[in-house]
Amino acid sequence: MPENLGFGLGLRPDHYEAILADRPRIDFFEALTENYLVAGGKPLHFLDRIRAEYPLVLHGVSLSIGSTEPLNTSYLTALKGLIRRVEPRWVSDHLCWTGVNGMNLHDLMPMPFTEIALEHLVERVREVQDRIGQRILLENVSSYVAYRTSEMTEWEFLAQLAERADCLLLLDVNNVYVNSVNHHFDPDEFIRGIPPYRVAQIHLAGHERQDKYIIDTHDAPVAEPVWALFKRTRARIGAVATMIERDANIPPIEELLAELDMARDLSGMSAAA
Amino acid sequence: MQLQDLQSLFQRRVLEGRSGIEAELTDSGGEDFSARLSTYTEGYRSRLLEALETTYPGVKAALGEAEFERTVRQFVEAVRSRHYSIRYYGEPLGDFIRATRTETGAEALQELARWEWLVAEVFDAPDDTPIGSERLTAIAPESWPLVTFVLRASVRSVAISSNAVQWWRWAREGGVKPSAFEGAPVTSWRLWRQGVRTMFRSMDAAESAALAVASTAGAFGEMCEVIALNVGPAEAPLRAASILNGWFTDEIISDLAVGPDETQ
Repeated sequence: MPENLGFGLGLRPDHYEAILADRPRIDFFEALTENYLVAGGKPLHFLDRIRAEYPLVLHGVSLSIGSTEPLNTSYLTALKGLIRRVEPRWVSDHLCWTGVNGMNLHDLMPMPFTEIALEHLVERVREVQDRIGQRILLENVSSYVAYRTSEMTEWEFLAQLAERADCLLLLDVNNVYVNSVNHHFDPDEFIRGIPPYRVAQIHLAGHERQDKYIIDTHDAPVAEPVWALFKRTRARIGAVATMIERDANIPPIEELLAELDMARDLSGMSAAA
Repeated sequence: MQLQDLQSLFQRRVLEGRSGIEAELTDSGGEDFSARLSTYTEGYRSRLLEALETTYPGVKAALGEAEFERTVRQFVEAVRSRHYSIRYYGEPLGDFIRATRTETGAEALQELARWEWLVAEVFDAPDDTPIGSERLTAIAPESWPLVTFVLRASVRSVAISSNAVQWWRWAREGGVKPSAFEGAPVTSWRLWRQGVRTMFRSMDAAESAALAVASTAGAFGEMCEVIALNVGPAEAPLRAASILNGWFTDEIISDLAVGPDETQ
């Protein structure tokens, strides 16, 4: 199991200068892999400088681990190059598919929770882990529709995948809450169904409430029910690297530091510790 | 249904609006089902629109927000994203604008889009190290015609025959808004990166021709010939020295060699 890195933030270009100038008390940064799969220039310049000061993990959106297309070898080659460059503590992506027939929807499309999908994923996760030489973390995604063919719950699917592919999980507590509303289940049952020893990282983020469902927007502070679920999750899973994602309406870093202190408080870790 | 067919069906719903996936989803008769599905169908279009807003801020400013969105939405329906990174989506936008707009100024919009795509290429082009002009001192006088230069990976050149760059600078820096898109005498530009800063400079015909030679590994002697065609044989040596001095000052040379094999 990877080490507990503490409390981190998603690395966003808006904060590059403030991070390097003020060295805020953040235990680690999570960089969006695709932002740095470029040849050079400003993105890698700042990534290298911040990596020199902070532990770093990589979080991708394009692995498309659930797609029925062959794995994208050019993506994996580029990912390996970035791994060699920044030596992240770990690499994560999402339990989803992003496109077929040579096209990319740039979205985290949901998987049906079936045995066939599970077998497909197990094989591909093993292949990716072999290619990059390390276990990956897969994140549960928010979804707005569900498949009639699903044969098991999302948490049963995740747990089985982690065991059979021997991968780790990035548990997005906001996504658990979003899906519990969208698909009418008890979020605590989800948390109880996840093997704690497979969870290497937790995500927290904001969402947008519609009339009868929730959209995972990452454009607002973490919502109260998600904080409450996070507290119960920490009580069950224990001390795990935890971070806050903000991808739109990005505030000054101080606002995110205050949210991070909230995460510390709810984990029984004083902000002044 | 096979997993492959299920994913194709869902993707066709997102890309083409073709029905079929509904039968495979729960709650498809629910009152908020279409809104839920639109998080995928509209989300796809919104993400590509956002990506092109980042790549083409000048085109957006020139067209105005509503017209830019209308144009990009047409483009998104016509051009699929095939790269794993959304950063690389949208290179043909300028050609699309040229092909689909009939008003005067469409050519200038096309050039503005081309310019902005090049700016994006320069922004994250490979890092390499410039060499200094002291490398020139080691070259024997008789070897000079054989010297070839390696341009840095970020160097781009483009000929612009409109006021597109003026529009781009207005969008980026403010100031006086150009009154219209209009044609202009052809100006060649080079773009490159110094450190993490994107730079650009206009070139006269002699420098433009010399850069074209250098970019195809042509030798200094050949560069002098094309410079002479533009400024005359008498002025060519001085002009060649001036151009070369500018290239070293701007740090656009990463290596040089004398002849085909011998690296200095």
